[in-house]
Amino acid sequence: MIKLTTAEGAIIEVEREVIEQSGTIRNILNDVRMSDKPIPLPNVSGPILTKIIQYCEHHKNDSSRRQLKQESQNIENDSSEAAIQRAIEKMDEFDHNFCRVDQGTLFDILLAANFLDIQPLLDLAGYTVANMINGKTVKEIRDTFHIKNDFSPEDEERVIKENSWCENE
Amino acid sequence: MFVAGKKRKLGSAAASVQRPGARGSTTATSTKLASMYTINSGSAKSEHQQYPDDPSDEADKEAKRLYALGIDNMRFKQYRNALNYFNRAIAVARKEIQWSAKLFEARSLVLYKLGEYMRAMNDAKETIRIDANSANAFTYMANIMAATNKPQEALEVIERGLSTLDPGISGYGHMEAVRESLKRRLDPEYVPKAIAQSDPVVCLPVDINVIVFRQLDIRTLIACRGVSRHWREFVDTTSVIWSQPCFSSPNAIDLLIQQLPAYPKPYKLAKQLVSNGQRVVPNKILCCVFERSRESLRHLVIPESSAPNARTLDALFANKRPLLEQITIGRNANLSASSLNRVLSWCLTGNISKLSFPYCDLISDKHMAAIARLVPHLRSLDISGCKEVRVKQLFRAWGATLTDAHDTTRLENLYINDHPGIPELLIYSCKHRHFQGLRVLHMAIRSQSVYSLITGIGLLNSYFERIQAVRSPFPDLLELNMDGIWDAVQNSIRFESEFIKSLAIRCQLVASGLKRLSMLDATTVRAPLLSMILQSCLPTLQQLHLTRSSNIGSQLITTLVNNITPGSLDIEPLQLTSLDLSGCASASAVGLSSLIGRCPNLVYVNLTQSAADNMVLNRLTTFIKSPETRGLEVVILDTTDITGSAARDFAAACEMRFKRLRSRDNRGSVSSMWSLRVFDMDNCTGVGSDAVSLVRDLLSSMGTRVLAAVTS
Repeated sequence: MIKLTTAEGAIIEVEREVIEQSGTIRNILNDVRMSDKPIPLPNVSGPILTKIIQYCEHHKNDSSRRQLKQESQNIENDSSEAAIQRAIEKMDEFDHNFCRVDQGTLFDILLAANFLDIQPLLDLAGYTVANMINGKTVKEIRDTFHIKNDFSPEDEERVIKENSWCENE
Repeated sequence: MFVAGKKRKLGSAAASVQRPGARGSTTATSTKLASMYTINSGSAKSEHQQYPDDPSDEADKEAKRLYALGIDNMRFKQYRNALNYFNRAIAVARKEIQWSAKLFEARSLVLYKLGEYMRAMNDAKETIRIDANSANAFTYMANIMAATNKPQEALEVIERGLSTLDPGISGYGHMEAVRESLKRRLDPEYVPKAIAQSDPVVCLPVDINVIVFRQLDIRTLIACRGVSRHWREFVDTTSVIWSQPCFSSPNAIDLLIQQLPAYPKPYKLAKQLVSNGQRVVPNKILCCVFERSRESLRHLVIPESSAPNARTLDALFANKRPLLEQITIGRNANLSASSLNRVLSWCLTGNISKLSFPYCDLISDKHMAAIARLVPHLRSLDISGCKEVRVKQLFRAWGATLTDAHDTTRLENLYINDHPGIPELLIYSCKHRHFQGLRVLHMAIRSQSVYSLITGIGLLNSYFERIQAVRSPFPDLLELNMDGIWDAVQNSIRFESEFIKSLAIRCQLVASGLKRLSMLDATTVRAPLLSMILQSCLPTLQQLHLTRSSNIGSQLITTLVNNITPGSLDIEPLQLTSLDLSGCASASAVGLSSLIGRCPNLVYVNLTQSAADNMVLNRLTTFIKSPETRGLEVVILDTTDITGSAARDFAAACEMRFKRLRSRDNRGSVSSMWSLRVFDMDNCTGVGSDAVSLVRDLLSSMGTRVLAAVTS
């Protein structure tokens, strides 16, 4: 078992096999060998860490996933789009439900996945955010993320003019 | 001036360093770097900026290139390599400029990732010294302190950053998030504020946003520019996100250009915009495309109605010459003379096989001479409507590349539509062997304004008067397009009959072996000439488009059809797959059906406004019924005398063929699926509304477009 310290200082225990999906933790474990000292994760809060462990539990048997990633890294590093595509194809019921959270949590998951270096989760959450934007109009995007229109009238007119070649009727 | 650009070399090209593993991605982020110095580049000032000779600019460019490579490596977690690149970039960059803050900022992050906290800290401090507005530097400092077990100090740093910086800058949201997690760490009781902002561009770091935005389609990306100031800045300056799969494929630009007008809206509207001159592909977009596809680009298209400035073109040539194979400069592309020279001087290499500059008034004899000299192996050239190119000079330029008079150039396709020098082209082609290898020649005249400009017809005539026997100027021709040329001749001079005779008899333009012949609007061509032209090439023709000719009568057709196989009972079928005789009203139904009866392989047939009737349609029905034929796909019988019953029979035969093929297809024996795509019986008074609806029903299963105005 591996001990992890959350941002709040609480200690969470998790199987090594599960949490090794995180590149960051894998590196730390390889560096320090086995030790009982908890690993501090100052950027990850307790609730988010629990969620991430849930994800890792569910995917701990996806060895093919790790192989795929390694393969793609070995062959050509630029196939990140292809990797994302493959990840999307592999998405299952659990993944879909996993991302049904409010925006704040989703962003926190993104940040944590980035920090912990869990590529499939990063792809999954990134894909979810992208889906929230894709195909929407300017106004719909503003409404989705509660963004204020901070253009000056002249600026806005200019943007509209610049975009006019690609706007809907 | 034209060659001047060629001699210059970019200093950075020599020092190209690439890690084999990250080849593909290098392009991706070198774009990031390139876009960095195109930010806010007003198009006004850039046009006359040539390559800078100032050495400090060169150093900057090199630093930026190294920076891009470093960022690239960082993205793929190759921190040691990244550190190496950043070290080198910092060594060459001028310290005093604000841009170098980015270098220290990036190195700080890499060092942090590598666990070298002291050095990382120094770099973060250096970043803030150069650029006090770097939110990332504050975040990194706080992270470093938190990692070295000094959360209290980390919180102080982040608070200082939050209080001094403008909440609008990028990375501010991230700072807030770091503060929340620090507070929580210091005080387990503290209930953190949920991320106050829910704007991903503001509160997520750039690398995560890149992952998100890379997955958006072009239209949404464009829409994102209009969301807020941050979004516009992010979308415009982070060209890595312009990574639609189509952008990285070899014909990226082609695909994009196809997408641009048609992507979100109906084609019609796009066309309308073009005709109003409203659609302008913004330089920024072009710039992104050029950058993304620089390495893989084989076909450069300067799109129609776009006006790339020098800076945009620089994006294409940033590091080295692209290995282009084709260049197309779209009609109405608003290129300045200097930009054109730049494109040509950088792109003309031995690899180019196809050049097209339709209706480009900037292309002159000088350019053609350079093209002939630099690209002697050119296969295809389109100089339609280039008024400034003179045929005489064209021949002179190409002649200079040949070793002796009997040599020929490699040119196979020549498109010289709407060009006033067409008669001259024919004279010179008879005199010289330069263009004997031509396979495809298009010399259509579509624009009436060219009529009055045509020169050299008198010369051509006097040449033919002097010389009796002329060898064929283009013995290997496979495709000939002479649309509208007859009209033009008639309109411009009075010796039209002489001219046509010269063309057909003396010049032997229509060689046997021709596969595709197009003579739209051949209104003035006399029957004997037509008969001569067709007789020589009909056995090999696959495509015959001969419209609005009143001289193609039944007698002519009958003689033609009978002459080909004199006396033999076993009639050899013709190879025609595409036949357009619309507007040839004097050919009778008997004549037409005897011709069509010989063409079982027809795929496209257009008999609009001809005398075609049920006899013709029945012939077509027979072809459909026969399983050996290739199968008609487009049948246009607009304004003809067909009746409802024949149309119904035809439709029924089509449906049967479709069903039969489909059932066989299920068993896996036929791979390609046949279907009738268009059936046009508009304006046919003999077809009633009952018949039309019946035909529609029969053809609905294969999705045929049936065009018919219901007549009562």
